[in-house]
Amino acid sequence: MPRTILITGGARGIGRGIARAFLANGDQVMIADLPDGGKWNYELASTSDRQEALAEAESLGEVAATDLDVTDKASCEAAVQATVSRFGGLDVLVNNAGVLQSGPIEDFSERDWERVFAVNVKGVFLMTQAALPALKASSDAAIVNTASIAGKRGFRNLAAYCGSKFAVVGITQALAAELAPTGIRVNALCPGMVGTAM
Amino acid sequence: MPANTADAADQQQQFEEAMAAMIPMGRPQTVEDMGQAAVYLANAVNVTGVSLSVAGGYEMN
Repeated sequence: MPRTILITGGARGIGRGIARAFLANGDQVMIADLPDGGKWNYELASTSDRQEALAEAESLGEVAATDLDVTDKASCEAAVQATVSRFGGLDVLVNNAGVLQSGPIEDFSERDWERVFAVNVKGVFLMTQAALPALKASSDAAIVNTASIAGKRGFRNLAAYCGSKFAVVGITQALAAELAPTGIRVNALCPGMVGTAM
Repeated sequence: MPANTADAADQQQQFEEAMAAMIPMGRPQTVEDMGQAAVYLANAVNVTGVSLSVAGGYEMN
């Protein structure tokens, strides 16, 4: 039976690949991403990225798209609501949205540090909290968090990113234990070297 | 070659060559690799709390 999958950061890169894989598996997909860029040290996903992803995915199966800023609680709740309204429920949350900034720790700005943790860590918290009522209503629910091999060991010039991804691994383990009695499984995917924009 | 003289195709080739030398399975990862693993994690009925590296053997734990 097809399940409904909500993928944050689904317009580009790894998220877009994950969307294609679930569609090929026969599932229904909601692609959630920034409406237009957002301010960061490099180009974030744009409306045109999302339209492109949607056009590609529509040939593969049932798919829709919605606005999402994972650092904003109301936006997270709206994305879950949009998914439930469109597909009648939510079975799998893929917390995939993330940002990266590298650089020596001496020069690393407080602003960049906070942004990396806001998107990569707080975003997982806010989206999971927003999605839980719908996931609990599913008989086959799971959460997949996109962490990184940088969440398994340290890499130079990546203190903020590694710290945020280690946090995702820790959150994954804590929630797996906490939500097991509800039947919701929580796992992390740790990509290695993928040469796509994020 | 300085980065500012390399075009996108050159940069991609350099990335792939560097990754091939570093990663046991001999190539960088693709978004399709990630999609396959995400679908697995969403479907594996008795797997929870796992952090699954999809890195061609570059990171093994």
